[in-house]
Amino acid sequence: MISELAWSRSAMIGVAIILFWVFVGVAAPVISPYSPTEMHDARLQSPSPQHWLGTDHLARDVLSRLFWGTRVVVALAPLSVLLGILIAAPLGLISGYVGGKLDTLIMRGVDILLSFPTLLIYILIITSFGPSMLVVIISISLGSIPPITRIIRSLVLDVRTKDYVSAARLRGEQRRYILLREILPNVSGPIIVDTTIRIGYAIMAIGALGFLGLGIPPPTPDWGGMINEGRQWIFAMPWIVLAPAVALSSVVIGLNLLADGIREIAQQR
Amino acid sequence: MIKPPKAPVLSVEALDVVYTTRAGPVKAVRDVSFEISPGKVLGLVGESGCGKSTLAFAVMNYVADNAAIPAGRILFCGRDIVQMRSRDLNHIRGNEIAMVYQDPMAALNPSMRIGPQLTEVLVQHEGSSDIEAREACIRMLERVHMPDPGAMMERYPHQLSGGQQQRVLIAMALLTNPALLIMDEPTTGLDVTVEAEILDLISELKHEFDTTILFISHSLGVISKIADRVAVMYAGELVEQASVQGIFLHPRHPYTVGLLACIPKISAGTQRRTLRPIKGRVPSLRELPSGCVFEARCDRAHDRCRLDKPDIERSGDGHLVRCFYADSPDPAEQQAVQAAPADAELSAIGDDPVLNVEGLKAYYKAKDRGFAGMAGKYRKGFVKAVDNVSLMAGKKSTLGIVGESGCGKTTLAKCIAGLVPPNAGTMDFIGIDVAKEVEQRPVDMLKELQMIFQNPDATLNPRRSVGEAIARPLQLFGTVPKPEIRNEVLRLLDAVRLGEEYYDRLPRQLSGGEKQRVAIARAFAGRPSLVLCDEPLSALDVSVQAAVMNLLREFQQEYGTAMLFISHDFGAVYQLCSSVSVMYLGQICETGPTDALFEPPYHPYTEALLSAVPIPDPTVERTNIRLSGTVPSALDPPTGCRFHTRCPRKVGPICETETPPCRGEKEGHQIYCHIDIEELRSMRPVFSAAQ
Amino acid sequence: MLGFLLNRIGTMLLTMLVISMLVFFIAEVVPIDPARNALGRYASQQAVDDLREKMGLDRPAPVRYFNWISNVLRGDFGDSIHFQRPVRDLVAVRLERSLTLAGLGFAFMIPLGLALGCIAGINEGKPPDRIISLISSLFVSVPAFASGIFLIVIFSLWLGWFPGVSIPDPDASFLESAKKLILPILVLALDEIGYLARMTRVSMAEVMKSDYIRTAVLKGIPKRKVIWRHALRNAFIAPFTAIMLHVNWLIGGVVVVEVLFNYPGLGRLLLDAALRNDITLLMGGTLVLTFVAVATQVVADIGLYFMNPRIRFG
Repeated sequence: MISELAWSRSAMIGVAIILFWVFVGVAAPVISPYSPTEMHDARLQSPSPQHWLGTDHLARDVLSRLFWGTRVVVALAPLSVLLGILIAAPLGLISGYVGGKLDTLIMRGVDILLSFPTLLIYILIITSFGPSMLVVIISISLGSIPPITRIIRSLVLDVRTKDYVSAARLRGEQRRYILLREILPNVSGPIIVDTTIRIGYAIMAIGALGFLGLGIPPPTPDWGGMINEGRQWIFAMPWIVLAPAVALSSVVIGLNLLADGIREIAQQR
Repeated sequence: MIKPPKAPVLSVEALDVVYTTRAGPVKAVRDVSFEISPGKVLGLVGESGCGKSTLAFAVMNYVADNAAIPAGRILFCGRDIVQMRSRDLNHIRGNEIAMVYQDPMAALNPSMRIGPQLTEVLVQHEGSSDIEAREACIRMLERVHMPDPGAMMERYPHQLSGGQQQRVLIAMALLTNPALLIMDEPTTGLDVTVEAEILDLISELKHEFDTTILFISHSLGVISKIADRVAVMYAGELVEQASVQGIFLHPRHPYTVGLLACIPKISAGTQRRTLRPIKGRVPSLRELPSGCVFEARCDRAHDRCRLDKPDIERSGDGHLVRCFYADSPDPAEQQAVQAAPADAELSAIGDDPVLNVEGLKAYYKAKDRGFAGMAGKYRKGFVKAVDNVSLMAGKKSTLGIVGESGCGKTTLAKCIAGLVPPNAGTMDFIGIDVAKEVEQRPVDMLKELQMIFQNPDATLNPRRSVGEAIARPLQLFGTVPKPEIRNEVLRLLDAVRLGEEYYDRLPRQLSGGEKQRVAIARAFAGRPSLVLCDEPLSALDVSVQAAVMNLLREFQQEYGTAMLFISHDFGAVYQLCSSVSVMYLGQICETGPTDALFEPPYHPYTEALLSAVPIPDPTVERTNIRLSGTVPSALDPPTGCRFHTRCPRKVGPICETETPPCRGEKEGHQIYCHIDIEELRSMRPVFSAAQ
Repeated sequence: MLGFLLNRIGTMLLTMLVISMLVFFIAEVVPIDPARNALGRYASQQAVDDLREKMGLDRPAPVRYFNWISNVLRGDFGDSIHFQRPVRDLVAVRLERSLTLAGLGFAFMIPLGLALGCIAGINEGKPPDRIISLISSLFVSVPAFASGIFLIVIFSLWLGWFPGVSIPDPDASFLESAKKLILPILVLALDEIGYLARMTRVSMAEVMKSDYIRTAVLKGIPKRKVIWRHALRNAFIAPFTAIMLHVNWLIGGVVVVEVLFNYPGLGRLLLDAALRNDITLLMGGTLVLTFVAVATQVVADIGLYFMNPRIRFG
C-alpha cells in the first residue's frame, strides 16, 4: 500500500510535509538553536542572524519555540484521534451490524452529541477540569467519537448487505469472524482517509484551544498559545504569530493532500 | 414497374470513435457502416462493451469529453452530422433526431415535474407558448396510453412506475415527430409483461408516425420482435447485417451463429439442446488483434484470419458479412447433432425430496416517518413479500421459480437460506426443521444448503483471493482432510474452467463471468444437497450465461444436488429446470413440470408471461395476451385471488373474495385459479403449432 | 407533512434536553468543587461557602438540575458569578451581535461558495476547476485564527486599510462601522467558503455526469439553459445538507473570530466566562448558543424537505 502512494502527486507532497514536521518535532531538542524558555537580551527583536525568527515579548527565541511547539501538535493530535477511534470503532461496528434497538439507541445518542457545537464541548470540559495535556486529549477524543461512530456505522451498513457477508453467514461463521474478517477489512480504506482528515481537525482544534487560552498551560510552547500570546505585539513583531500560523496551516495542508491522494489511489483501483 | 428506393434517412459510412485514455487510445467503434431506409427499424445487437451505445450516441455527435470521431461520415437526410457545429446540432437534437434511453428513472430530472420536462421540447423547437405546449403534451401522453395524463404532468418521476416513465420518454421523443428515433435498450430494465406492452406501443407508434428507428438491444429475442433489419456488433465492429429473417434463419458470421447457439429457445415442441458457450473472452479494446477481431474465439478460424482483416462481403439479398469463411459449415453444430439431449438426466422432483416447504410466510415491517417514527416505532404495515408458499425440491432435479420484480422470489430464497426469518410455515430439509434463521440452525447441516447470488461484484470478499474463498468452506465443513484442501480447490477451479493461475488472484482482477464461476465453485465445494440460485445469470452477458448454465448442470450431475433456480428469465428456466413454479405478489399461482407449463392448461398469469417473453425467433407465432394496470403494492395486496386486478380472464366477484382452489393433481401440475380445469385445458395455446 | 414537522421539533426538544443534562453534568456535577473552581485558589473559604449555598451544592444532583432547568425554561438562567448580573441580560445583547456577524458572514459566504463550486464542477478537470480546487483546499486547511492573523497582518499592518480590532461604536458612522466588520466577516467566510465550494463542486460534477442532464442536452437545449434549469436545483441539495451538518463547526469559527477581533459577541462572552470559571454564565451561554445551532439545523432540515421532491412525495 505504501508503495502505491507514489502514484499520486498530492499524496507525495503531503507525505513530504508531514514527514518534515514529524522530524522537526522529534528532533526539536537537537535542532533548536536555543532552549524554548531561555530568555535572551532583547525583546521583540526582528529576525536576525542570531534569531532567525526574532524574539518574542519575553525575549525568547521564536524559532526554538516553534520547533518545540511541534511536539505538542505531532504527538497529541494523532493520539486523540486514535483514542477516539478505539472507542468509536466498536460502537460503530456493533451498531451497524447488530442493528435493531441497540442501533437506534446509539444513533440517537450520536445525533444528539453531533448537534452540540464541538468547540463549546471543549470549552466546557476544559473549564470544569482545568487545562492540561490530558484534559485536552480527552476532550478531543470525546469530540471525535460521534462523527467517527457515524461514519463507521454507515460503512458497515453498506458492507453488511453485500452477498459475501450473506455467504459467510450461510457457512455458519461466527459473528466475531464476520465483523473482523469480512467487514472490517473492507471498510478500512475509507476509514484511513477519514482518520487522516480527522487528525487535521484535531490539530486545528488544539491550535484553536491554545489560541483561546484554554490549551496546554505555559510555559510549554504550543503554536496556538504562541499566537494567543503574541497577538498584542502583532504590530511590533508579527513573526511571533505568523510563524506558528504558517506552520499549523502547512501541517493541515499536508494531511489533506495525503487524504486526497489516498482517495485518488483507491478510485484508480 | 420497380419503385426507385427512397433515400435512407440515416447513412453511416466508415465511422470511427476513439477515446483517449491515460493507457493509450481506445478504438471503441471501428469502420462501421450501415443505412436505415425510411420507416424501417434497424436492430443493433451486441453484448456489453461492444460499443453499441457509443455508436448510438455518436449518431447525434454526442461523445464523451475524452472521445472524438476521427473518421467517417454520418449522413442524416443528406447532411453530415460529424461536421456540424453546436448550433445546428442543437437544432437537430430532440427535434429531428430524438432518443429514448435505457434507464427511464435516471433519464428524467428527479427534481422537476413531468410537465415542464415535456413542454420544454416544444417551447425550444417549435416556439410554442406554455399553454399550447402543455395541451400538445397531454395529447401525446394519451397516445402513449398513459392513464390520467393531466395529473401525470404534475407528478415527479419517482412517483411513476418503470413502464410509465418509459412512456413519458417515448412521448417526449415523439413530440416533434422526428425523422429518426434512436432507442437505446428501452426495455432492458422493465419486467417482461411491461416490456411486451412497450414493444407493442413502439410498433403501433411506428406505424402511426412512420418513424425510422435505430433500436439497440443485447436481447436477440426483443430484436427479433421489433426489427426489420439487424446489425450484429462485436468489439466495436459490425460483423454481420441482414434482414431479420436472414440473421435468425441463415446466420453466416461465426459470432452470430455462436450467439444463437447459446441462447435457450422456448416454444412448445422444440427440444432442449445443450447450449454451446463461446469460448474465450472479448478482446481488450486497447490491444486489438491485427487480423479478424473474432479470431481467437472462432471455431472456423484459419491462419489467414489472424494475419488479415476480412472485408465486408455482400450477398444478393442485402446480407453483409465480415468473414473469410462465412459459408463454411460450422464444425460444432455437426457435433451437437450427435450429442444426446441434455435433459434426459433430469429427474422429476417427487422422486427424492430434499426440501419440503409448506405455507411459508415472510413479512417485512414498513417504516413510519411520522411522530412515532422518532422513537423507532413502526406503523402496523407489513410488506407481505412471501405469503403462503409451498414447494418441493428433489435430488438431482431443479425447481425453477419464475416471476417478475416484486413477486417475492428473492425473499423466498433468502428465507429458505435462513438469511431472513420466516413468520409462519414449515420448512423441512432432509429431515431437519429449518424454519428459522441460519444462526439457529444445527451447524452440521449448514454445508448441505448453499447459495449463489445475483451480483457477481458483491459475491466475493474483495480482500480474499480466489483460492482462499473456495478453500474456506472446505476448511469449515471438513469435506476433505486438511492436507488435500489445496488440491480440491484446484480441482474445483478446473471444474469451473479456470486455470491454476486464478488461485492467487483477487476478485478485482476477474470479469463478471469469472467471479460467478468462483461463486459456483465455492457453493458446491462442500458438496451440498441443495443449492439456491438467486438470479445468478442476470448480470452476465449472453455468451457467459450459457457457460454458467452448463456448469450448474455439470455440478448437479456430479453431486446429485437439488437446485432451486430463481429467475425472471423464462429461457434460462426452460433450459435448466425440470419443474417450474410461477410466482405473483408473494404467492405461487402455478407449479408443474417444465414441459407441461408451455401447453394449456395455464394459469392466466402464466399465459400472459409466455405471451410476452421475447423469443429469438421471428417465425414463432404467439397469442397476444396483455395485462392491464400495474402490480399492486405488497403492503396491501388484493383480497381473494391476488391476480384479479389485472387478470384478462377474471370470472367474476368470486375472484375478489375467495382464495383460488388448487386445480390439478397434487404431485403433478397444479394451478390455483377459480376457472375449472376443463376450461383451462381448452384455452388456446400461446404457441401455435410447432415448427 | 405534519408528522414530519412534529418529528423534527420533537427531536429538537429531546436533543436540547439531553444537552442541557450534559452541560449541567460536566459543569456542576463532575468537578470536585465547582464553587472553589469558580472563585479560584485565593478566594476566602467564606466566599466559597456562600457560593456553595447559593448554588445549592449540598442538594442531590437531580434536584439541582431540575431547579436549574425549570428556571431556564422560564427564562431565568441565573446570575453571572463574575458580573453579578442576570445571565439572560448579558447573553441577549451579545447574541444579537453574534447573529449579526454570523448572518453577514453567511450572506457573503454562501453565494460565493456555491458559485465557485458550480464553476469548478461544470468545468471538471479544466483550468478553472484546478484553480478553484487548489484555492478551496488551501482555505479548508487554514483555520480561522490563522487566516485571521494573515489578514490582519496584510490588511491592518501592511496596508492599513481596515482596523484590526472591531468594537462596535454606536456613534460611529455607517462606513466606519462597516470597515470594522469587514475583516471579521471575511475571516468567518473564508473559513467556510473552501468547504462549501468543495462540496458544491463534487455535487455539481456528479450532476453534470448524470443521465438526466444528458437527456436535456440531447433534447437540443443549449448548455447554459441546461445548467440553469436542470442542473442547479439538483446540485444544490447536497451542499445544503452539508452546510446544515456543519453549523456547529461554524459556531467554533464565530467564537474564534470574535476573540481575534475583540468583537463583543456571545462567543467572546463565553470564552471570558470560561477563563474566569464563571460556571453559571458559561452554562447559560452554552445552552443558548447550542439552541441556536440546533434550531438552525431543524430549519435547514425542513428546507431540505421542500427542496427535495423525493422526500416530500415519498
